[in-house]
Amino acid sequence: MTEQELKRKANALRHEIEAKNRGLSELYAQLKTHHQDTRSLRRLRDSLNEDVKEHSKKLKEYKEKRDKLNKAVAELNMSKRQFIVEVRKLNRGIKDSKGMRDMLNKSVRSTEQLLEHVLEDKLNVLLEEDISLADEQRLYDVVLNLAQRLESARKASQVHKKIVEDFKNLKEVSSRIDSVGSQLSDLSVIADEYHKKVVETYDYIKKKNLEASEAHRKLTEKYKDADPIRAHIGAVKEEIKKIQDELAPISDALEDIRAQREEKRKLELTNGARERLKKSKRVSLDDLKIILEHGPLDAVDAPP
Amino acid sequence: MKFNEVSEAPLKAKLVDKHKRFQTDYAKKRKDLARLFILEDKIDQLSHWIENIEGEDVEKLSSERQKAEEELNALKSRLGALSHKNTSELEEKIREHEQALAYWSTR
Repeated sequence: MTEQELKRKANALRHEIEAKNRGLSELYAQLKTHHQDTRSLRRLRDSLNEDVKEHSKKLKEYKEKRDKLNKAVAELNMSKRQFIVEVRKLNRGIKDSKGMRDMLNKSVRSTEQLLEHVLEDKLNVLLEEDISLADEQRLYDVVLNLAQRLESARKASQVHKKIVEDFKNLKEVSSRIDSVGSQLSDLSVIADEYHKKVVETYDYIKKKNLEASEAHRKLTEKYKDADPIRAHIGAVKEEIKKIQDELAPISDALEDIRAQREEKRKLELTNGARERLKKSKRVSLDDLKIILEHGPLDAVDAPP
Repeated sequence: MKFNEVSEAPLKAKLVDKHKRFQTDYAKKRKDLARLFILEDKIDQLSHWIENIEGEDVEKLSSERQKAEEELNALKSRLGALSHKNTSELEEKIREHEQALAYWSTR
């Protein structure tokens, strides 16, 4: 191949490398844009994951508080149920006692004090006075009847006291029910608030998890999208290498030609300078420079 | 007797006690009444003798009559209204209490 042919071929290959390099620059620019996108997506995903982590901590706190409150509410409800059972028992007891007291009062038909007074008189006559057997028999029945009525009156009085006591207890237990009810209402409101927070936070986490997953999916896709670009870059680099491999011997050959030509030109210049030195025994500064570059002065006479 | 102790059995026991008490009391009064009659008769007799005899015995009899009168007055005071009754009435009372005692003991 002639020098001209080699030069044409070398130029064509260099142009091809330049074109490939330009393509490579574009590919690197694409990859850079890609890297910016992936960095942005990674930051978004990591930020969402961090947000989810923080909200998960809050969710745990809210759940613990809600569960604690729910436990307290359950305990109060149990107390309230017990109080209600107690109220029912007291009401039933009061109703029964009232029935018993009314029944006793029907047979008493007087006051306890009056019965005591009359019984004392009649008993005194019966046991102390000298009266006929007939009167004694009559009084005996009267006294027993009075004693029975007095006992009933006393029982009625005791039952009445119990009713009063039961009413007092009923009032106290009812007051406790009101108090527990009030506490329940307050705690339920707070528990509901925490439950709402739990639900809201859960929904928020769910939403952010989806967003994070979506960001991760996009990121993965982005990574995948970059693969063909990287592959393309690799391929272009390979092509450039091949072209360079093809260009290298041509360049070497051209360099050899250029070097030979240069050597020849220098030799011609040196010989010319020597010829002039031989003829005139004098040498110009430029010729001296050429001669010195080519070799020592003692070699001037050496054949070219 | 306490009110809360008033029931058939204790009441009957108390009535039995009462009639026993009355019986004892009337028996004692019956004895006192018999003594009262004796003293009244003794005083009558001593009065008769005092009015019909003379000498030292009058003083002695008068002293004895005075003693009998003092005992009689004490008895009358103790017997009260009963001092005007006769023993048959007291006997009747004792009998009534015996019947009542029997009734309440067996009822």
